[in-house]
Amino acid sequence: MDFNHIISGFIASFIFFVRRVIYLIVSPYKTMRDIAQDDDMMQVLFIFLCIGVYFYFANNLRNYPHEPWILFFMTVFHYLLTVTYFALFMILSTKQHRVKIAPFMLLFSYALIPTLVWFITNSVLYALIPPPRTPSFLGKGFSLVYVSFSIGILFWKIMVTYLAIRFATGFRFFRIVYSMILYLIAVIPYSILLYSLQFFRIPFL
Amino acid sequence: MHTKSEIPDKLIRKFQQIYSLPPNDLHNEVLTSWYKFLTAPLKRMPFAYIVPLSIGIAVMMYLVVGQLLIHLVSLLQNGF
Repeated sequence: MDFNHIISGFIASFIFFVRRVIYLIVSPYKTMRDIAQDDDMMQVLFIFLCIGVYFYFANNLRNYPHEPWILFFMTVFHYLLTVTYFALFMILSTKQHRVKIAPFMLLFSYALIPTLVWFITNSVLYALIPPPRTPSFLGKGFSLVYVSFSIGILFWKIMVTYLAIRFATGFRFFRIVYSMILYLIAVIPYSILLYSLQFFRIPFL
Repeated sequence: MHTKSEIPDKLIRKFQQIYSLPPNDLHNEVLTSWYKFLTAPLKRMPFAYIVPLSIGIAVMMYLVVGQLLIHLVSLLQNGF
């Protein structure tokens, strides 16, 4: 029956999504390689559902100047711009006329997982131990732990993004670095603009 | 219970996945060998290396910038 097929497909996609998020921590290389072979767009929907739910709950912790659904749609827009940029970069640099978009969409959506983890942790810590930090012993201790955590997540994010570009485009090391530098050259001023317009203090990329 | 024909197919699919991309090449033997040496441990349990490295960087940052680190943390905590 079609309905049973849809439900079982939904459950299978959810199980794959949870499994891959966990394996992204344990073995990101094999996980991203596995994701690149897939074409199940339901997993992209689960990731964005998590992001949408996060924006809704974060808005309850501290009121954003803009509605959470605006921030969510901006995040989706940024994601689509990122996918388009790397797909176009691949088309222009390899002179291919066609590109399979499913690996790009899956890989770059999983590349948002480290960002989501950092934002969720930050929001929880904001609720439990709101800033500002003091130069007391506990303040310094927490600051060290927090900065270590943030640097760890940043390394994870760089690794996962590198693997997303590697498996989506097939580029080698220097071309990946070059494409990332050009991407950052566009993203950094854009992030400053978003900050000045009070959309994002730190962009959700 | 796997039939005789299933096992080779799984192996073939696995090998196709492993060799879906050519290996990375930095166009220089020394650089390529350093790249492979540095990235090999990151392929499995990278956090075993990332966690101590992050702690080391955070401690170094504290030794260099001191109290500014605490202000940075307050700034980052407001960043979401």
